[in-house]
Amino acid sequence: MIRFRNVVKSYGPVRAVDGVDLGIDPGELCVLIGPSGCGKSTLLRTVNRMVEPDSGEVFVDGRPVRAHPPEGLRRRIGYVIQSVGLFPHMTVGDNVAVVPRLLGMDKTALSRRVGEMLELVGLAPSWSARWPRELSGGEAQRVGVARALAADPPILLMDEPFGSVDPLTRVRLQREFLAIQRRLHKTVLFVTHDVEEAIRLADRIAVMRSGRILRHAGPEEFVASDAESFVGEFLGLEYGVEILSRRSVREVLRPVGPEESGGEGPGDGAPAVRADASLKEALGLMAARKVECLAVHGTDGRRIGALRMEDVLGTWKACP
Amino acid sequence: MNRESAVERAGGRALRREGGPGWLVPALLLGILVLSVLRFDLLETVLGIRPRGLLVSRIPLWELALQHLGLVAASSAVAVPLALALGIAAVRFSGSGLRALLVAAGSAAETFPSAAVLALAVPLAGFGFAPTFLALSLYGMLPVLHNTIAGLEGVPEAAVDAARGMGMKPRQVLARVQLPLALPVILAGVRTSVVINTAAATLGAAMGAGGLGLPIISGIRSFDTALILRGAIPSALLALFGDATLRRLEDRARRAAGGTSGGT
Amino acid sequence: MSVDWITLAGAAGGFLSAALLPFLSLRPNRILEGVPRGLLESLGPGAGIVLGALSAAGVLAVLRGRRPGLDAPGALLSGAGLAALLPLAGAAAGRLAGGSPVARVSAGSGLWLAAAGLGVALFSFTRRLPSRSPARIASLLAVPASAAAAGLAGLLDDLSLVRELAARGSTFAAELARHLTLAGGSAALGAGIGIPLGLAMYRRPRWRGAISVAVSAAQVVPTLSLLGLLIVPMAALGAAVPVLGRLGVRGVGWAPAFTVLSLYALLPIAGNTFAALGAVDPGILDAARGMGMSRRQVFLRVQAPLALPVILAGIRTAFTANMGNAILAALVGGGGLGTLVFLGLAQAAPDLILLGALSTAALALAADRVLALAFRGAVPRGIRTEDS
Repeated sequence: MIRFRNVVKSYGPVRAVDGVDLGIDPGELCVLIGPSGCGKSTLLRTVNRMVEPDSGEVFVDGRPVRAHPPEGLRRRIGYVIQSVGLFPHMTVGDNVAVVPRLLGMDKTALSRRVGEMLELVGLAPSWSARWPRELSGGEAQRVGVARALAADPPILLMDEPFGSVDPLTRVRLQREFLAIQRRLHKTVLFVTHDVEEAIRLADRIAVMRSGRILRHAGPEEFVASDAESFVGEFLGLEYGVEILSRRSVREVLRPVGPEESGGEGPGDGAPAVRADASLKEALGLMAARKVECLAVHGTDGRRIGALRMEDVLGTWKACP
Repeated sequence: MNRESAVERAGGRALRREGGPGWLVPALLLGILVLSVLRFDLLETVLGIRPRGLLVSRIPLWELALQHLGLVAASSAVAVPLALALGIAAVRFSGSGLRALLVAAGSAAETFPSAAVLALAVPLAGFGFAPTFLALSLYGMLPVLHNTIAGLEGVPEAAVDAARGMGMKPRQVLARVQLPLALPVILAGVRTSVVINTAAATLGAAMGAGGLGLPIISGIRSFDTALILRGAIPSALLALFGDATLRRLEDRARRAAGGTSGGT
Repeated sequence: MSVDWITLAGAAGGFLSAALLPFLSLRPNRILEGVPRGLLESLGPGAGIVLGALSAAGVLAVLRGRRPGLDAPGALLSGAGLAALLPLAGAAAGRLAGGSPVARVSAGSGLWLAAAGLGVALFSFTRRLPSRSPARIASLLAVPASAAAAGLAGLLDDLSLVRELAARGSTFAAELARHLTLAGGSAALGAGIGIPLGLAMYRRPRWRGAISVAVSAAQVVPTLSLLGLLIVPMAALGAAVPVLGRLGVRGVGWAPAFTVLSLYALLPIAGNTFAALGAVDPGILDAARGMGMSRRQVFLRVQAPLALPVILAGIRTAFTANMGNAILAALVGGGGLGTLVFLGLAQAAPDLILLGALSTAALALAADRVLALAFRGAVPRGIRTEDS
């Protein structure tokens, strides 16, 4: 869906993007990660021609982006940035309606669309009459996402969209965005420097440094990275634990039937974890309570199974 | 409403950049000013003009310049400390309503034209030095008062909080943290005040206070362009010199304040 | 609730000044030296109203420390006292003039300071009342209402300023009109040129340095000096090109005044326009471009509306400043209210000076308020601030 072929962009003597080849499949969420100044934002901005490469080619849907006039191209690509960039002189509704209006959508369809989009990001349609200055950081970023999705673009470019909100809100926004992405299957290019965020969201991760892509792979594949290499060092030794946040307890729990009582299952005093918690949270609870076995509760609070440490970590070698 | 726009600051920066580092621009302006006051006849020779009026020519230009300078200096010497004290009091005792009163009265008074203030002083204080001095002292307080309040209130909350947390008394917080950090903004107010008063003092000539406005007004009345230039050029230079000098002081204060004090 | 020291100080100062300083001043004719008249001499029993209002305001300012809820009576009392001053002074003027049509009775320092003390009290008491409370509205309306009523009833006819105005009626109207045309027209011209200039400055970085230096220099150079410096080339131009000379371009008259005032308005407006466009958050412009707006759309739909409040504030400042600076037009024979001021200075006639200066100041204040209200509607609601 998006393909970079040997893309180069220099600013003076600095090569911000230094020969990038990268492909992103339709419906894939690709996270570009790297330290500040590695060229990830520049690379992202070549897709909607906010930055024109010095050489190389960017393709969208098989056609070079150079073949499209920039405005038309941008209207078909959603764009979310860290500073959100809501227009303070327009209501929330008018902000969301900007691109559909540029594309000439008629009034009734427009107001319906605005309502749908606000609901999609978890805001009541009545919010459309509010002003951006009345919104909290998290709310503003939700509106930013709604605005980017309003014209139903197949592609979404997100440049550290959740970078300026507090950690709790960030995690909530990430969850909500994942839920939206599971419904809409956009092709997303997502820039961040936050490893946890990349692990939570990415279908594939591309690690960048000094304008080059060092490695491009699925999140699970990075577990085996050499700790001495830049990639391993940047992702950190805790990556092996962080990656557990991608899977939920439900996927690995041992179901407890009514017939199975006592015996090997955890006793009534065992700490309990909800089935929709991540394995990372479950491991955290085990470490905190110094137990290797947890009870698993359903959303209704009834026990539905048990979880042992080896279920979380898989099989491992004895000390070599 | 602040008197100084962002552009004016940008202009100041451009002036400084073009003028090279430090005190070169003020020094240059001072040199030309002194030269123009002492040897204005050189310029007149170049332009091939001479004032016809014998009336004013009898008072030497340097004497008019000193009158002008004295008027501005005397009124600023009254206005600046008074306004500073009022501004500090307004911020220290903001609960008392003093701040609200001063801000409301100050912003209304800033709308008041300086020429009207000067004219109104005549029925109160008669002709001569006194009414102009009175008007300039009162009018010159406004920008200093405005900027003192804005500067003190613009000091980052965190700095004041940290100072209090380290055990400083309110007086110490004011003297060691708030005033140094607000100084660039306060000095900008002083500069505005001096510039406004230098301009208003030219009008003082119409009230009998003398100064560099005298040749301008006499020249206009007698259609004598050479006489007009005798007042207009040195008074313009005097204002530019005052502005440039105080800008340098402001820059130093801004650097001393860590360059963080943006303010108004 | 605490004692209101500001009001107490204002009321006490007003009380002492009213009691001790000359309240009115009587001149046998418009240029002779005035004879001071004390409060009792001037108002007779009416003095009680003035002193009563001032002392009541002071007492209430102290008592509110112990008994809350005294702000409303305080506001009403000081409002009533202030409203009473003008009719009382007007009536007293009639008595003091004693039927002489040329005698002039004007306010003395006692009257001004008593009014200032009551004004401070009125401001402090009303400030603490809710904005729509009846006591606040009533006390704030009392002063203009009583002034209008007293004026219509002829009660103020014997005050010196009104006598001066009556004597100059037609001249005053003509100069007022001239003043408005001169100040308003030049500011409008300044805006007409200044906004495009600011835009050009923003678009072409090469022009920036020169224009911003000119902007700051023009704000530093005294108005009168600039006027003087411009007269010289204007006179030369008018003499060299006779057509222009016949149109009014010469060293004296409206042309140099109009030019200087336009220049005075133009530069800050250009500067504000440039600064306003540059101050728009780059993140917002990036978002606008990234959403597919063309350059024109980014400018018209995002940047210009966001810069508008600052641009309008610049225009408002320029109009207000021009209303005051237009006084100087009279120096070069350009007419306007300055004519009255300079004539008054030449004749040593204080009433004429007051008439010219006060009406100019009133025009400046009015221009400021009217434009603030007018522009408020033009600013998009999402970026409106309370202060404008």
